[in-house]
Amino acid sequence: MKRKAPRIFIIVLVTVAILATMILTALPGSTRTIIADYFGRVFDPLVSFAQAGAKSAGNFFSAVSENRELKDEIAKLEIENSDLRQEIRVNEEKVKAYDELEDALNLKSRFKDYEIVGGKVINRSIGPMFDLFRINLGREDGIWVTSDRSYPVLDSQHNLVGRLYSSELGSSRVLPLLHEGFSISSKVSASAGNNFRVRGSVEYKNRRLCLADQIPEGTPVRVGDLIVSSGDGGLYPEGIEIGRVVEIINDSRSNAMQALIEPSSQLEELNYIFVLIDHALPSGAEGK
Amino acid sequence: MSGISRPITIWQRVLVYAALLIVLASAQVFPGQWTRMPAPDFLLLLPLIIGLTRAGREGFTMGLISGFLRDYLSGRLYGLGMLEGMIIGLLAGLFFSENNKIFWRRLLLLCPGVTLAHVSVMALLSYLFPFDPGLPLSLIMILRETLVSLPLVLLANLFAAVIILFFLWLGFYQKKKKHRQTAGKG
Repeated sequence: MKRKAPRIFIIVLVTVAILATMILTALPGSTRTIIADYFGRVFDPLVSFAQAGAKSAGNFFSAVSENRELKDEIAKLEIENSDLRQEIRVNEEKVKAYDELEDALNLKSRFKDYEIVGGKVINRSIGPMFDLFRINLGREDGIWVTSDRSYPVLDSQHNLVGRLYSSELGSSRVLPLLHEGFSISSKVSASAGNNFRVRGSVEYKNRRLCLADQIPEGTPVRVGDLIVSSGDGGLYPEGIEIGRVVEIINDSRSNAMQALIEPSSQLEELNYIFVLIDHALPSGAEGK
Repeated sequence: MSGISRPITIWQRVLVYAALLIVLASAQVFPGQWTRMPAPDFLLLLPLIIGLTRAGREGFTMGLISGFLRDYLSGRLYGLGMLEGMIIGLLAGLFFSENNKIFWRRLLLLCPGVTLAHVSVMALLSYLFPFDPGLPLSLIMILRETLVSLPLVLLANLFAAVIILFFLWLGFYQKKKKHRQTAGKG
């Protein structure tokens, strides 16, 4: 069977269009949101639907397999048992969501100067250069990320997850704490002054650890210490829990001290997140 | 590939590919999954396998679409995934063969080849275009970390190739025609 290959002219045209898109969307204040706004309207519900379908199918099959042993013994109760288990599973999801919301209420009292918006993780990251994850909060929810404005993202236990990278109409992309492009000014909890930097590191990413560097001499950092945000820089309020020190690295040549931090947030297993919106910050593109 | 080359109408084809894209993309980026091992990269291998099995414009088009999905879902910018997908789809189309033996040989070569090329190029790009130029980044470290996870990535992508082939077989399966022996007797 002879199949037609695309014409050279079309390939060249498409390549030029893609390169133009790449340049345009890499610029600050670019057209990236316009492309994604329309696409997201159709695609996000489809993905959520497919994922919900997969979840229910998984629940159904696991319920069936668990009931198989009982089937031989108590044939009468089989259907009832299966239904009850199915119901429990659904209720467990509801209880989990309720717990997350309850925790969010505590979060609200802690960061009272901020508006807290709760959302759900739509998808995880894919790999290098495709390393952001997406949440279902966007400009419609009052989140306007610009080149000089971002928002902290927390989990329900008040732990830092990352910050927003871009916002579209109904969704946003999150730069996670472990990413090599992420950094935050931090300090040892309950200590005054002596701020240092915590950042993602390629070297420790696979071990699910962050690196604390630029630690001033004499800073009392010990294994097990809780590291929190210092509040410097304006983006993150003071006191957000980042993680705990698991290892101290001393460079004998430069006499510099570094520390490995295990994030408190279970980044890989996140389902719900909370975005802190500080309305006192300059609004940028808001309302446009 | 002869087994999955049933000619169907354009709308049937669109339906098959749309379902394939939504199911595979959702599975690949399902939150909370693939925590212990790397996720099979369906969106990377889709244009390769469609190009190898269906040739022509289908690999090229699917490369563009699946690349756009990559960009949309978790890309730092738009276009990179599309460009990569387009190139993979075009290359795969060049290697199309109706001979099953040749097809399998090429698939087994191209699957790890494309994975390796993708991983290396993306590692290099993430060094050349860092997220925050103010933060230290080492190319050696990036390459080392990439190589450490490579065997598992290759394994996951071979699994992805098998799954995609299975879905394509479901969508485009063609029964072999029975040839009657018409040779005259006597």
